[in-house]
Amino acid sequence: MSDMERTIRTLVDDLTPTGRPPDFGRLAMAWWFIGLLVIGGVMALVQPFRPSFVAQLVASPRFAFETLLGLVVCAGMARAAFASGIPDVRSQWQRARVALLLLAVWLGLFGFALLAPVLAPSMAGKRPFCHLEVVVYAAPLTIVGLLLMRRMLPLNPASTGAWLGFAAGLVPAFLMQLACLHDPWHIITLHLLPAVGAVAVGALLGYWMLRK
Amino acid sequence: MDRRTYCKVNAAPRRNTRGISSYRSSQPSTGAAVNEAAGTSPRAASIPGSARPEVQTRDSTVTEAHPSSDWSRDDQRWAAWMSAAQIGDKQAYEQLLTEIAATIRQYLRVRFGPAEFIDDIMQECLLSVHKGRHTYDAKRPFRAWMFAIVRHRSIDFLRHRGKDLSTAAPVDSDLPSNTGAVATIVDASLILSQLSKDHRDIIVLTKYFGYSAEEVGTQLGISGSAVRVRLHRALRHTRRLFNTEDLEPQ
Repeated sequence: MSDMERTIRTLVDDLTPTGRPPDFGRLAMAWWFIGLLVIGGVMALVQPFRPSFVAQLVASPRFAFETLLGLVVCAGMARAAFASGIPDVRSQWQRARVALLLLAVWLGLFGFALLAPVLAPSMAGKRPFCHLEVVVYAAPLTIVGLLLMRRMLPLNPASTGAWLGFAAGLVPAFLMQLACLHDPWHIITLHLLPAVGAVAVGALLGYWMLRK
Repeated sequence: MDRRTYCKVNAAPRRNTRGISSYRSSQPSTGAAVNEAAGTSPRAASIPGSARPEVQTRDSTVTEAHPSSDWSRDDQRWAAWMSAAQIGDKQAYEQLLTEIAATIRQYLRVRFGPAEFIDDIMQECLLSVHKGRHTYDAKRPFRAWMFAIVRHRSIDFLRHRGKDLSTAAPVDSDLPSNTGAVATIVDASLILSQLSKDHRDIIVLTKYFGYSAEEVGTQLGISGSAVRVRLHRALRHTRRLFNTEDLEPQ
């Protein structure tokens, strides 16, 4: 019996039923939705949301569309991040292309808003440490996501962590759109840029937690 | 399951007895010998698993695993066996592992040539397939799932092998030359034949021959750090080559 045959025999002897494969899409949506609720709750406890945001959603279709698109982008990025836990010959960029396209449109809306503001300029709802809050809230959400992904088979731990970190960073960044002051430049630099910073945190955590 | 419980063909990386000077004086001709070395047609070389694999059965006779090399039938059969394995069917699992082991060996031989570490990579791949079998969804193509694992594990293995060898005892770099054997390795490797000469030199010297960065640096007239940087780039390029390969039948 050759070494390879012995290996196969050992693996066959070790075989146990595994049940149904994990539905990464459902897992991603659960992670994202619960994360959204918990982070939203914590943010409201730290400082109330901008008082006028409901009225602004009703009064401004552009703001409502921007918010809805942000919600879809966050969900899409969460799904793309969890997809990296399932081996596939397609690269992660290919698997996330729809989410990335929507993200580009979302960023484009903020870019356009620099020229034609969606809402009247106001300091209402300003949070002094909104940029730090984004990173701080993203970290535990990333850790929870990585714990869930340990049940899968992420082949590139650092990359998986980075995608998950970004998806986690987008959740508080999106909520800041409703909780903090609404100014396109403020949103890009102090809400979305820290979400990009969460990529590095996610990559480190992923490398540390998913390495086998 | 503990990795150490599995038998390893080459538990400790071995250094090749051929010298650096023998490699430097050899020049690979073309990548045309790839197909001859692997015993496959040019089309089969570009399509992993499309050639009929030799399968070593449990009684060590060499037979054809399946009469047809039809791409989709392989995929459907493997998917069905994996689904059966997920509910605990050991017979289906053994058949699956036996067939994919042959396919993976063929795939690695075409890409790495007659390297001594192919069996080690195969074991890593089979172990990963075993550990990750619960992530396979029968609604998705089995081949895409399996080759994603094989590609990643191949590159990971090469990177890890470098680390192992850097701690090994230094060897005499003026060993007898064997340029023919070196040229055969490079010619028989689809991956090496697609790399630039600099990248190819670094990978062959460190991964196939087992020299440390410092030893290679001395021979090539560059620093050990420069060797490590070049090796990192070479492996990144190798990963890119793996990832851009088409797994669909042509």
